[in-house]
Amino acid sequence: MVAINIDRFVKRYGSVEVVHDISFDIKEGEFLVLVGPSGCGKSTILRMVAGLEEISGGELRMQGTRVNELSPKERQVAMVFQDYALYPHMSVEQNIGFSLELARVPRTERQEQVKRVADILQIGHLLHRRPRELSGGQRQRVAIGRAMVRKPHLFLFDEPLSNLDAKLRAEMRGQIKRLHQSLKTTSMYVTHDQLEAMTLADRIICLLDGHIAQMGTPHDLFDRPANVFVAEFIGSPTMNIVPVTAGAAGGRPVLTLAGGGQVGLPAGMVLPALTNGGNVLAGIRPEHLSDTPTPGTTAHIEGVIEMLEPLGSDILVTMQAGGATLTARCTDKGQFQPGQPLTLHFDPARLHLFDSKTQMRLT
Amino acid sequence: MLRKILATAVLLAATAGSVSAQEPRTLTIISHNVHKTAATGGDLATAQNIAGEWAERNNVTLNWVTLDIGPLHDRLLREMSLGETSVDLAAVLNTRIVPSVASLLEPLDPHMQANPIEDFDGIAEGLRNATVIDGKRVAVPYRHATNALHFNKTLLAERGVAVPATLNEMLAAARAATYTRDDGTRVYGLVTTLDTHVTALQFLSAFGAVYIDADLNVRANSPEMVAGLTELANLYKEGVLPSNVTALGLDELIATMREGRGVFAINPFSRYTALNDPAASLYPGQIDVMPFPTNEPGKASANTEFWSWAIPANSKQKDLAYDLIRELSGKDATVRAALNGNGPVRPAAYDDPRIIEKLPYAAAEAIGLRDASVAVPAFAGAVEATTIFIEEMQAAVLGLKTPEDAAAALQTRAEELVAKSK
Amino acid sequence: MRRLNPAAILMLAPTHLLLFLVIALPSIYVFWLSLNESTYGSDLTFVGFNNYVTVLTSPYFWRAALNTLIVVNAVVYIELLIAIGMAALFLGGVRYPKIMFAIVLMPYAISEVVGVLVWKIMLNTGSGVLARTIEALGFGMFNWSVSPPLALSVVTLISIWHHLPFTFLLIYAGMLAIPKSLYEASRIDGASRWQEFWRITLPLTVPAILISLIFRFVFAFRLFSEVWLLTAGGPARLTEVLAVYLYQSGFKYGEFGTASATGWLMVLGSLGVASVYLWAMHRRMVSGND
Repeated sequence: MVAINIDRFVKRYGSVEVVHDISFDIKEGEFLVLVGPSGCGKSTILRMVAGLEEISGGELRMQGTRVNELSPKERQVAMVFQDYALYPHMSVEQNIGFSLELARVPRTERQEQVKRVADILQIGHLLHRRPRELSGGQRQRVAIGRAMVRKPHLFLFDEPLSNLDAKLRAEMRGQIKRLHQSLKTTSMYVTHDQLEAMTLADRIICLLDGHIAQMGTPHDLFDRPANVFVAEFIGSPTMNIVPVTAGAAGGRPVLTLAGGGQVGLPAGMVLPALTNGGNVLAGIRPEHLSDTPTPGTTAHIEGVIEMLEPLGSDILVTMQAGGATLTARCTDKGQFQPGQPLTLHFDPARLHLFDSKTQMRLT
Repeated sequence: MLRKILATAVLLAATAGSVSAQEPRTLTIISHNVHKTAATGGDLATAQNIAGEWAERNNVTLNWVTLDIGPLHDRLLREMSLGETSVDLAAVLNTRIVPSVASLLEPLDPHMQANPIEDFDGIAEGLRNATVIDGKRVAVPYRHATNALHFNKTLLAERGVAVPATLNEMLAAARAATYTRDDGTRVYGLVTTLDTHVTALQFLSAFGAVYIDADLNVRANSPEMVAGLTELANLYKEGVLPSNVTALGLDELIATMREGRGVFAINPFSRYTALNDPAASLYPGQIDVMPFPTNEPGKASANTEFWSWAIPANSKQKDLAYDLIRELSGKDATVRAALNGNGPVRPAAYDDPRIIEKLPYAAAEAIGLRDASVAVPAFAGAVEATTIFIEEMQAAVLGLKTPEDAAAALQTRAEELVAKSK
Repeated sequence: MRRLNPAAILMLAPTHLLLFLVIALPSIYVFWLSLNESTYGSDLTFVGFNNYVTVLTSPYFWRAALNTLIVVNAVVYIELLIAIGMAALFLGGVRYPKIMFAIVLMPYAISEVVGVLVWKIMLNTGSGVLARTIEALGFGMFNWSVSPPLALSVVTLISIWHHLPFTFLLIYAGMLAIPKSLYEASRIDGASRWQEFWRITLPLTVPAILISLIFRFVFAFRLFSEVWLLTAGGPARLTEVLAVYLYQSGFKYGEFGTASATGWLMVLGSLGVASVYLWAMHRRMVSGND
């Protein structure tokens, strides 16, 4: 069942249009993540849904009803802000209970509900503190608690974790995920961090310059990026993208690198319809390149190790191969030395081809 | 080496100093603006620049610092308390020439013996005597401001009221001439400033009231004082005095008279010029002046304040400053200053044909000066005595106190003050 | 409290030296003067606390103190209320904000003396445009100069008019410093405009309010030119304020001892009035609230 319809959203500031004709739906209980670099319009869309920004064009429907003109309160949304936006002059209890107080919920009932939320978030012992006496993680929990206590139809998260350090961010990410699994509230989450998007989302919308670059499940975006932008944005380390000329030699497809090196692909592999005389961008993720062949890895590429970046059990190996630079994520057994020759194996099915001009995926 | 350079520099500076001695010297004078106008003619078309001519003859640049009465004395007293001052010549009000101040002023007798002032005895005796403290002459009288009664002849004629000859006639006339014009403008029978003691004491003295006499006897609690205060309070209550009379300043008084919103006004004779100024007054030549009448026909009551020139004892150019005093105090200079609007301290000046011709009020002022007495005598508590008077007088006028209570309080408080000052 | 190292102390020294020379030293000298009898042309005579006794037993001092207290409190609080209201209006957005801002700040750019005199002319009984308007509206003759309550009201009005921009600026800056996201959060929490102002804007402007109260109490205590130019303390010394009282004794009577004593009593008085807020401020700083 569809909870929210975003129908042809446009946002203009004066004559500048920053969101261009964007439409998507959010299903009941779904966790939707808007991801993209800064300036892509993701926060603007979220704030238009919240009612904090006027909708310049298009329609917002909740449960099928147009709500463009309703106030944030009437839309029954709750929001977690990037800077937490906790009221500095109120205690944690007052912060969480503020919306209930405004809604004239009786004091005892209010206290009960605040307590319930605080217990879920494990901040019950902090209820009488002021925000400035809390750590970053605790503040974030209070902010989430303030959103939860209202039992909203829709949770909105505006880059809620970006002010936290890496360790806390991972922890809070887990907490948000668990919360969503238990509460099942429809959520819309904005982040510039693809890892957060991948780990949290039921569905991701990747935005670029006010347009949707791709919309789909994390798997869709990871396995079949629709364009070079999404391919590079999703996944870490970044996908290797190399300009190649696709052709055929000896009855099988061959990719020729800029420096003249060639990569033979298995006979019988069908390349997509090629354009631009076969000049395409070939992409492969570092984790899909391996220094040891396995049954599936029927193609390989040879080169010389340029740089090593150990990650612990894994190691990032950067290799020069016929004019192209490739990074592979391998298991580190101390087997690599810079300057040594190396052969990287891969499964041709993991290869992504993009049009060199339109940057779109070739299928 | 350094020493040599310094020595040369000092030598050069010394030479420059001797050269600059040929340059005009600067004489700094601190006074009220009226003294500058009296001595230089100011902006008048008929200016008699007495001080300017002297300055040119003596190759002196005059540096006038003009201030209002309070700040003038404050500045002067502070300058005189220093080790040395750049003020060479100062105008001082009679009430301020008290022993503690006199000790800071240059005794003028030696200067006068060496270089006498022309016909010094021609200056009114009362003024001459008041400027000798502990047997030493510390100042030379220069300007008197004697209060008189100004009246708008046109308005009196319009209201069909005759020019009064006695105090009671004047009070009746003021009442009769008080009315409201068709456009709502109020015309007040009597306009005076009651934020100062001088004009109020002028009014009261017409009843024979004296606040503190020349021998420092407090005589405030008298039937005359009570009668005068009662009359003032009645005039205020009846709307004959302007409703804001206790806050009415000199500028407002002048404006009120020029615009025909006042019939009678208490102010010094010399205000005649300003009130009849064709450029600013709606009644040029119509605002006449007479000595303030009493109920004794032919006898005027006149309250006076006067200013004198004095030299700070810590000044650096006493001889030069004295020379200017001498110049300004001469017989001819006195007449010429009077033509500039000064109140001449030589009674003989009123007989001068130039004054009779130019100043229509000369004869009246001569009578006023003849009958004049000082408003408040000089003593250490003189300034505070005026403050006390203003307070009690205002309280009586506004009806905050009965005239009897005000007069009694005035007596007690002034006596305490005089006792303390002795 | 952090400890200062010698280099830091050395670098702060010129500031401290300057403060010592222009503030501490004159204050100490004035205190010394207040223990002496002193006038022009005479040496100091030590009289102990006699000058304080003289001042404190003078009914004029107490009347001036009472007038000062009434006017200062009226000025500061009314001014604060107007400033808060105006700042809230500006925060909510006004048309032509730059022009409006310039208009609001204008009184502060006008010389105090000029401002007061213009008001005085406009309020001149019987001829001033404001006085005549009030009369035309049927309120009777606006004869403020002979009525101490009215005169002090006029003083209050003009003082507020002149200093409002200062308070407004402080309060407005305080309001601008409130993060926008707090308003957004409160809107999402369901706060109305009024609730937003009452529950978010106002509590978070408290530090700015405290600062402006402290400043304005201390400044307002020195109230002089309005009274001096309007009534000079009259009629019958009924509208004198402390600064006028001090001026009379110091610069009219030349009694520097009592004037200095009055000066010190004024310092203590203004500190006393401002201390409530200083204390509140200190408490907030110690407890770390902002």
